[in-house]
Amino acid sequence: MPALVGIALQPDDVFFAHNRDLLERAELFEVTPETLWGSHCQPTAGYERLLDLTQRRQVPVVGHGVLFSIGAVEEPKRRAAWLQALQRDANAFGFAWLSEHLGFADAGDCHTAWPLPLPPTDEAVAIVAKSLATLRSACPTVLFENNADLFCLGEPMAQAAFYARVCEAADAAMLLDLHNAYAYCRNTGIALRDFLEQLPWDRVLELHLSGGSDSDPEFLPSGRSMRLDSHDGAVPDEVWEAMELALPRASNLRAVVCEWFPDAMNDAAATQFAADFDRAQKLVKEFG
Amino acid sequence: MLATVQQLLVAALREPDPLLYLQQNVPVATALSDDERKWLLAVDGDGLRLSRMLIRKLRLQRIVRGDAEASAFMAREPERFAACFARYDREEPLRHVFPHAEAEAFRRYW
Repeated sequence: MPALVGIALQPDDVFFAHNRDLLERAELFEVTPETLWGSHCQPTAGYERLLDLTQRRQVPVVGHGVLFSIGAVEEPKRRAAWLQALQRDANAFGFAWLSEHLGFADAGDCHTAWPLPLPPTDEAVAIVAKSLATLRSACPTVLFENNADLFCLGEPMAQAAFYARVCEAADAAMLLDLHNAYAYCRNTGIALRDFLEQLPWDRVLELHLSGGSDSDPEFLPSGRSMRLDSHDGAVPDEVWEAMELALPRASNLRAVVCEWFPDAMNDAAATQFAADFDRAQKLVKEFG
Repeated sequence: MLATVQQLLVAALREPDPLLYLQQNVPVATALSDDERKWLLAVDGDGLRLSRMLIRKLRLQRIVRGDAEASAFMAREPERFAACFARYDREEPLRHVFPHAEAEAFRRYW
């Protein structure tokens, strides 16, 4: 069965107003529960809006998180409440699977709100595997996602083998974000194709597809520009090429999810977002 | 130990010059393997600086999303808001996950 092509849902008015057609055409929805929570992880109005839509459309829904901090050695204080909320949301939305960004966002009683890179060590593999096992109480099928890291610990290429070790140790699948892979390779100076060739393809269950942007050279004293995972532009050619490489290799692929942040949504963005969705659908059918 | 790697990185990302922080603190940290020490000292300084900037940007976003009055304050008096935020970011540990909590903590700095 070919993979389903879906979109990452955003609860904002601007996202709904500009994507009416896509909201009806998407074959699958991805929901990020933590963006729908208020104090004490309680559902907000945005939560109800997305729940109404997904119940009306009756298409598969998958969960996606950013800040469970699956690589953190020091377990964040919020974890028990967070997990309970994920369990509630997995039931309410009927998540087919639940993914989380790889990395750590908590250490020394600080929270960065941004998953930071992990070194490719046995200790890091064990910590991530333990966190993913915990997440299974919310949803039996768990995935982790590669990040658009701006730096790395160890040889950049070693991350591909690290992903494979995490999959093995946690018996987990992988959400391969193609733009993040592109950004990571650009930022760390390695070839995207070589990196992709080393991934554990049989574990890739989902692809993320999005655009991004280059950082303003004035941000850094060196004048260097780095690639950011900003979800605010057309999918670049390099990422389409990566998708063409990915589709025949990812034999267990079940979904391709297109992403665009609401802060960057307007008429032109919505037109581009729909065009990227159509192109993804066409490619999946060709390779399906 | 991974815990020490993570503590050093987060502490570095709170500093104006994260690379300098690592260069000064990694050599004297005791609970690091040889590989961890080598990797931390070889981290890309540009990537660290940009990561620090993104973490501060996310904090700023939490404040303006968590409080309509803070958002209005930023629009009305951008320079004073920026000064308040700089002081807040320097003095308050990074602890909050949700916008309302970050915005409430920031209110003490207006």
